[in-house]
Amino acid sequence: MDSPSTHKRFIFNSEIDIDFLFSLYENDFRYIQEVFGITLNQLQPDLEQLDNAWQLKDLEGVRRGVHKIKPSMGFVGLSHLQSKCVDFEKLCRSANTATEIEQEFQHLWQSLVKSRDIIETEYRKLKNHNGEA
Amino acid sequence: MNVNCVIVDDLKVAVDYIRRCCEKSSMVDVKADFPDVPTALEYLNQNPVDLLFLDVEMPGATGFELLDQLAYKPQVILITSKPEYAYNAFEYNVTDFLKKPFTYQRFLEALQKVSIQQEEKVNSESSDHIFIKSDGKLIRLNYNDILYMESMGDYVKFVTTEKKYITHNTIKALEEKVNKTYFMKVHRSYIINITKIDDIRENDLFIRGIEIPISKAHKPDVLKRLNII
Repeated sequence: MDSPSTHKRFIFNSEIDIDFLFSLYENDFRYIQEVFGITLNQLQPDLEQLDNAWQLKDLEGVRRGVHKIKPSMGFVGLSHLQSKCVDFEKLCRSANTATEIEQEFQHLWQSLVKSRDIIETEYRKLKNHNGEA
Repeated sequence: MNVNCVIVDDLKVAVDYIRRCCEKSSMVDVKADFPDVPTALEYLNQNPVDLLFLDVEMPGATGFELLDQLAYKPQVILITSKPEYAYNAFEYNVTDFLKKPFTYQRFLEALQKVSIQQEEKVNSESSDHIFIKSDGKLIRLNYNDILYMESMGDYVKFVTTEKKYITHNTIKALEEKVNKTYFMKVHRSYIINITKIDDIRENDLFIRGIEIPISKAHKPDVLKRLNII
C-alpha cells in the first residue's frame, strides 16, 4: 500500500505534515492544488502587510499580521509553522514594544518566507501531477 | 436538518473550505460569504439566516460587533481558537467553536450541536414549561407561574407567583430559549411574561406591584407586541 507521502508517485516536501493534510482533504489532489493556489495568492499581500507593520514597529499591526497568516499555514499542512505563529502572537501580547521581540520576529519572518517558497514549489508540482502544468 | 448560512471570514482559503464542508454535508446551504463585518451586516439584516460561520478578528469590526448590530439572533459557530473568547461566546449564545483548519469530522460535530439547538428551539416554542437548574436541583417552572426574569450578572433571577429562583444563565441566552408567545424582553436586564402585566406607564410596566423598566431600545417592540394604540 502506498504511503500518503508517495500517493500516485507524488512526494510532498518533508516540512509538510502529510497526515494532517490528508485528514483535511483525503486524497483529493485537485482540491489540495486549489488550497495551495489560494494560499499562495493570499500569502504574498499578507507578508507585505506584515513587513510594513514591522517597518513601522507597529506591535499590534505585527500581531494582527501574524494572526492572519497563521491559519493559512495549517491549511497547507505546515502545522509546525502555525504553532510558531501562535507562540509569536502570545509574545506580541506580552511585549511593550516591537524592538523587544526583534530576534523572534526575524526568525519567524525567515520561516514564513521559506514557507512561501515551499508552497509555491508544491503548487507547481501539484499542477504537474494533476496534468495542468 | 437543513439550514441556510452565511460565512464571515477574511481568509479566502477558510471560506472555500467551509463551503466545501457545507456542500459535502448536504445539511447546510451557503447563501453568501463576506470578508468583513459591514458588508456582511448589510446582507444579513435584509436576508435572515439560520446559522453564521463567524471569524472574530477581521479588518475593522470584530465578529462580536457584528452580533451586537444584527437585528436577530441566528445560531453562531465561531471560527477561533482563543480561549479568552469563550466568555463572550456564552454571552452571545454561540453554538460551537471551530479552530482553523478543522477536519470534516469536527465540522460534522459542530453541525450536530446546531441541529440539537434547532430542535430545542422548536420544542420551546410549543411547550408550556421550562426546566431550570437552581440550588443543585432541576426545577420545572410552568410558564403561567413565571412573572419575569431579571439579570444578575452571570445569573438570572426567575420570579414566580410563589418563589424566586437563581440560575446560572444570561438574559441574552434565555431570550432565545423561552416561548415567545408568553415572554418578551423589555430591557437588557428583564424578560417579562406578557400575560402578567398589570399596567404600563410611560417607561415602565407593573407586574404584581413590581416596577420593571422598559428601555428606549425595546419600547417600539413592546408597543407593537402589546398592540398599544
